[in-house]
Amino acid sequence: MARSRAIRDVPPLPAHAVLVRALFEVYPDGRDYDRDALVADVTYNFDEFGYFGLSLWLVGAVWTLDRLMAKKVARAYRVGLYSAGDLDSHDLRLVASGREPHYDATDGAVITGDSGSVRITAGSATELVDRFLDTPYTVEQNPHFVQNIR
Amino acid sequence: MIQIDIDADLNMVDDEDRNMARLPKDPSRLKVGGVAVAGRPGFWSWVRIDEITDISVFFRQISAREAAEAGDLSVAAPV
Repeated sequence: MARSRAIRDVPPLPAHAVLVRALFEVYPDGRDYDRDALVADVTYNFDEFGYFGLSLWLVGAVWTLDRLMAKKVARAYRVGLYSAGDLDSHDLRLVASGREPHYDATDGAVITGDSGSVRITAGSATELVDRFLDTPYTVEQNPHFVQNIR
Repeated sequence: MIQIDIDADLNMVDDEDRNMARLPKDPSRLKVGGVAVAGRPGFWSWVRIDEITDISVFFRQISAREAAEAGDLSVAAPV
């Protein structure tokens, strides 16, 4: 049975909102993403929370890009920056899941009930990942990167 | 090259802001309170394991110093 997921009651993001996803290594052919790994990640989100989702961090007044890179993803040496508008134009919806400033990108329908409960239809792991991979982004180095070795 | 004990997307957190990952195929060396390495090349961290369920392991990132102070790095491989 899926674990319950807290969904924050917040307004939809404006198109100019910026979201961050920390990147891993540079893959063969210079790719920033491993498609199979992303499919596994969104499938794991389904197994835990009942919907396909890919984690992002929202840049805002409290969680500035600098603070995000220092506090949330300091172990990553670079990040990808996405706009909410670009994600939306690729039919990806943004769900304010967990604690601020965490979001999930999902390709499922997000349905809010009369009681305020939120239901997210399943969607598809591969569709979600392919739409995400088609979404433009910019790469930025993380000035707060710490290797974290002994 | 770091040897990673727990393959994890470190962008992913639960409602308590803990990182989380699918339980490795051989979880026998993981224990609650233990120290491990989680993530993937390019984005990994020392972590302290907080909870283990049938399918998941939940953990919090810690510094290298905290990991060393734990004194039990038997799970985590050296760099």
